[in-house]
Amino acid sequence: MTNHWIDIRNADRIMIIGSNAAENHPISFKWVTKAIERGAKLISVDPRFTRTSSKAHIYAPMRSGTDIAFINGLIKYVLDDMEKNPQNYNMEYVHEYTNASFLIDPAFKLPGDLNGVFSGYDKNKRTYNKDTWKYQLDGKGIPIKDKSLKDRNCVFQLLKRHVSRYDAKTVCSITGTPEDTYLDVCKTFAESGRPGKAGTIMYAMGTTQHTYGTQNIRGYAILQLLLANMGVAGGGINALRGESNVQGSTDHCILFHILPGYLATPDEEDVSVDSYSKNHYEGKNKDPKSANWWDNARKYIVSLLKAWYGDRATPADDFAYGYLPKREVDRDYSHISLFEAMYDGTIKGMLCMGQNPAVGGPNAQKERKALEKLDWLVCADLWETDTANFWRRPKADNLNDLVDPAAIKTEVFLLPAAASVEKEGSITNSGRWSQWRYTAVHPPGKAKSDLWILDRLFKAVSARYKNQGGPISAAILDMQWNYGSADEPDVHAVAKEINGYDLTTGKLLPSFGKLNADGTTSSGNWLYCASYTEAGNMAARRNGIDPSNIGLYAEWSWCWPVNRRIIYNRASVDMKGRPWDKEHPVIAFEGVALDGKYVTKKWIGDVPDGGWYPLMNPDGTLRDDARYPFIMKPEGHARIFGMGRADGPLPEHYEPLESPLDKNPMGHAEAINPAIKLWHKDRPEGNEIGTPADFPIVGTTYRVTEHWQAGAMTRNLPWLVELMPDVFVEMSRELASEKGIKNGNRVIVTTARGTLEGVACVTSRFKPFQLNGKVVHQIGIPWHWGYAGLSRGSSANCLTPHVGDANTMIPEYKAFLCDVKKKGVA
Amino acid sequence: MEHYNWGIPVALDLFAAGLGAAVFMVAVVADLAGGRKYRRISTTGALIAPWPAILGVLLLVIDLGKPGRFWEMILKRSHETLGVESLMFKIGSTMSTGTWLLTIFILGSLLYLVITLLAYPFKWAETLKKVLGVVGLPFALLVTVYTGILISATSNLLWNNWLLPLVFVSSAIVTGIAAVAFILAVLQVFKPESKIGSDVPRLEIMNSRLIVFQLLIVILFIIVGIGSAQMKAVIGSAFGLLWWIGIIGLGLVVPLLVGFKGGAKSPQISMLISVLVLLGGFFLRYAILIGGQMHI
Amino acid sequence: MMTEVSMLIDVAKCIGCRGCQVACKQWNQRPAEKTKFTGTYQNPPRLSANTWTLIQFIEPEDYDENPRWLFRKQQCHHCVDAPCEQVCPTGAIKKLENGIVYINQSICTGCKYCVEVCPFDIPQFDRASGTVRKCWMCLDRVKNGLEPACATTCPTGAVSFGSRTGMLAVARERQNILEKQGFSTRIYGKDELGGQHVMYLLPEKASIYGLPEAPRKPTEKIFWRWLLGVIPGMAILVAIFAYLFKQRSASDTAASDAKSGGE
Repeated sequence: MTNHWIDIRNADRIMIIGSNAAENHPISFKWVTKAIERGAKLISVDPRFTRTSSKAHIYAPMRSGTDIAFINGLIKYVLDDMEKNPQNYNMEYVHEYTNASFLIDPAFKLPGDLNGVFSGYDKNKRTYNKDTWKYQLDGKGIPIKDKSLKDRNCVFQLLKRHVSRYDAKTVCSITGTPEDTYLDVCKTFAESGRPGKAGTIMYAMGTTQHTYGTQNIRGYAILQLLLANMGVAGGGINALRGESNVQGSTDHCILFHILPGYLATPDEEDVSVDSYSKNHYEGKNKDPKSANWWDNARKYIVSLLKAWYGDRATPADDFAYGYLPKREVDRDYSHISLFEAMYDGTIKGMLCMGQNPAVGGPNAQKERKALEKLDWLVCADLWETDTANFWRRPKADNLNDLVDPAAIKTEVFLLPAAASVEKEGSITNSGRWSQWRYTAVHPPGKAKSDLWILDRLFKAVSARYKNQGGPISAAILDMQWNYGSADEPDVHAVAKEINGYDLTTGKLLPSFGKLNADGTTSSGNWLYCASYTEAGNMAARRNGIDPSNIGLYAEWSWCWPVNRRIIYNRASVDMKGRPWDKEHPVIAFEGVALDGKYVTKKWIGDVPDGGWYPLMNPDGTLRDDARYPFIMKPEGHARIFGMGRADGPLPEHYEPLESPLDKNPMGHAEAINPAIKLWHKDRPEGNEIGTPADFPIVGTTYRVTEHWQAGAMTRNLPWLVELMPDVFVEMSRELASEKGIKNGNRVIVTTARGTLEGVACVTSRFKPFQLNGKVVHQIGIPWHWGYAGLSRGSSANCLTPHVGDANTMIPEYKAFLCDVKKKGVA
Repeated sequence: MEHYNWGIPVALDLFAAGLGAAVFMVAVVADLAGGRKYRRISTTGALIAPWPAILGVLLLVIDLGKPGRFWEMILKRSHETLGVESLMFKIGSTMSTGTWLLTIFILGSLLYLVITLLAYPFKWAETLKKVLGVVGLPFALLVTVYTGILISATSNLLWNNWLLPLVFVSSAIVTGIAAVAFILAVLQVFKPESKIGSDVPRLEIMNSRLIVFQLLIVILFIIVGIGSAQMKAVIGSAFGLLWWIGIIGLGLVVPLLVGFKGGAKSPQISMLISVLVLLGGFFLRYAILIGGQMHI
Repeated sequence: MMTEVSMLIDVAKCIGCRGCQVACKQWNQRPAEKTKFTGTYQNPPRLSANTWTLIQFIEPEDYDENPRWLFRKQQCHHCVDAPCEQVCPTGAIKKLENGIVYINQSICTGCKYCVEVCPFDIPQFDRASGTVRKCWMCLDRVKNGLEPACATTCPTGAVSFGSRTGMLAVARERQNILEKQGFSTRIYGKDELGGQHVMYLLPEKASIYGLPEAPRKPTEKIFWRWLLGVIPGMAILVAIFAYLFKQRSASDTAASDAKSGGE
């Protein structure tokens, strides 16, 4: 989240899209409810009418996988309205804080002009050469701007041309939204563009789990920038993370492409700290008024290496940088790739902690088969999960017809793990708050904390390397590993290591501003530097006072970065440092002015995104010692045009890999995202893809309030099983009557990859989509079930394909093709 | 199989308590109206009156979730100490009122039985019997009314019908007369030479007039309650068969026709007719009690 | 004197998450029921001795014109004029000064009269214990200054708890807010059955939520019903008396004659 949970209450307009917040993040509705009480309008965009929709002022149905069309149309509405009613928008924000005014290389081409692709597309490699996706630079290397936003090559004009193809009629013929509802959404959400008003977008996996998930979010970001909603209270784009600590695990590098603090993982071209820093971070900016914070990355990687290798990380050894594993350039090591490699037998063993891929992974039947190829599998969990049980799983959807365990050679270990309340440590919520928790109860039996398990594992591996040697054993043996001598490792020592030390004094560092690249500081995660200082464990703070009155609660726990509760908050003030929203100021400049010039620096409110002077003096003169507000971008401006993405600098509508339409509704040559990897082409085995002729119905998967993820924790709790005892298949009355299905019947859902059996939930809350006169049905299935535990049922992921987003490789769980019939009917 | 809150034991109680009280009333009224003339009726009534009520109470106790705690309805306990504080009586609770009515009725009818027997050898007991009968009449009548009030003063859509108590009262009296007629007819069958069953046709004729009234009340009851889905289900579903054939057809119309034809032609037929009336009376309670608890 | 407490259920704020259902079972240690998915999210299908509160999921018929999905938390209303308490023949059901109506499990005989009398179908018979059970508004928590478990767990503030006057004030304030937003609401339980200690703020008709529009105490006209049974009953007895009295002169033979005459 750019903002945080409590801040939702400050919003005037809330759009929940790609999220079913009321069901999957019920606590968010504490704040949504407060906002509505204040008069905020709630918009729910979802393929079906959910518990979230039940609280919305406007419910807009939208076919799964059409977010970009939906948002591009909204952007077009805003741009058109801006021309007619500029007073309703914050134009200063748009031309001063975003890259709307930046001129782009004239050779750049939009997909509207290139049959569906941006300039630079290589059809054979399915990748883009991004040479034309760049700013025009002046002689000093600074991007050229046209603040009038008139230049044909400025981002604003490019965007306008790009979205001009997304008029409401076209959009609705793609999304299936009734046009009057759609226009109501446009009008209502655009009202948040008024200076002093704020609109927030709450999204979750309904947005991300598509082959263009990243571009969906880009769409939201562009819209929010045009409406001046980034950085302000009640604004932002807010990812509701799917698990209580998934933000923390991402911050601490659970993904393959990042190290702690979102530092890039080194690839084979990054041979030294120097080349790593230069290749990824340095020399990207020539504008003296841009802070370009990532310019500091060298300090962070060196401090990280000091935290890991301690005294062994010396300047002479390039701070032990050589020990870091390097990935192949552009090679992908995400979930699907790992399981495909497992299927091949390339990967021999798996350590599976707090995860249940036999239920949660896409194309689950294939992933279950992949597990059979392992020599060993270690699962650490509260229960014997479906994954730990894969060797006695059902062959197909009949839960009682099992595979032959004797034919599976994998050795499976199950380590009993402690639950979150049974161990001390921090959890970082979606709002980036790191909150310390104490041990409420001790774990039962032999269950151990993850920290204990990892500590013992490291020590055992380390001892083995020491005794028997091994490839690059020094990378293990040189590691600094001091978490006390007690049975349970000292979790505070871990937290302190993450914060980091001044190695010259041995004192904990107060913030990442003090980190150095010379080896005199350490920090296990630069973003968390300031979380555990000489003043104590900041995450354990519990001061419930809120002088800000906008719910910042600055002394309750701790938030990265440097306890900044709303990031990009320098964009919440005008160029002179005065808040756009006087009622809900995030920060305000209160320095003294003399003769129309600021002479002292003083910001009040939240921790500002950089404490420099405002860009402009009270007399209207620009200041050279100021910095642009979006400090994490080299150019200091928020990117409407985002050249960093693999599949285009602006979002363009493509269809899901399995689309119910015969052709791309935008008239492109190819229906799908041209930059995604096609697993079914490279590796057809077990990766079958369906066509609308065989599978005319759109399927999607989701969660319910009553169950948790892959179900291991909740399908074993009788009270929760009582509430949601079985897999169900939600469908419209129209589809049900076409198929002769009655509410409560058992039905079979089939895709090219597998089948599922569930109970029909026939409801008005699902409606068929009318797409240009064609009727497309959609069904939805919760994906919590598997074959282990108290409540057992078919896994929805036996239906989903192996295909991922072009940038992140997140699987496309949310849109696929299927068919449904009543059980027992041929 | 659906579990009903109040099942067959309660239906039997509603039937039996009303029956016993009605038999008592028939006995007393016959005694008052004809003295020794109706001695066969009044003695038979006095002899059988307590037993259905006792059976009903026993069934009620068995139907309690905690039968061992039946005395809680008689003695009041403190919530704090759980010690007995006083007698338990709540005028607003039909269950509590009924408990006392039944207790008094059972004790009174047993006494009445003893005195009835004493009245054969002892003349003085004859007067005492009349006095006790008159004193007992209102209690007996209240017992029959109670069976209807108990279930009509509820939130049950079928039961909460202002005619229900009257349906039960008149049904109780009709079944009470039939019960006496049944016993007399049985005795007649066993002693064909005696005149013991000579009152039976009179009772049947009398009862047929009452059945006309009972039919009117039942039809009115249906009309009053027809707005509820429950009533529609009871008279329309499988219950409807029981309702129309068992209760109305065999239980009321057939005896009515026989009565209007001057009574049954033989004690055997009288037995059969009485049994039909009695079964009809029970099925009436059963259909209403269970039908009201169906989930529709 | 304990202050009179109340719960306010602000239906417009309920998101149907059912945290209350689980919190209730957890605090009161009620076992889970074995359920089936039957085509609705509502589960268990109805209240039981082990399910004292239940979110009803209501999909109104007129969805196409006005899409809605309504959730109502069903539980004991803790009436001032509580019919269950009035009819309890053992005194096991007690109304406390603070307004909570609870069933003393040591006194309840399991006669189930309260089950049939409650206008909201709340008390439920427990086969295992032989007694009737229902929501007791977490009396043990309330006595110790805590809120009932369901109110504590509710994420949106749809369930709140406090003094009755305080809750009424909150309800009226919310009523004003909702009115400004175009909803006319009703505070259900403010006056119904003498006032109730669980009040609902309803933005739609009570009957849509399965509540009686005008709940009536089933015992309220009981005296007239007694009369309606007693007076015709007496009339019947008089008629019998009259008939028998008239027939008294007719001899046994006459009766036999009547019988043989028919042959």
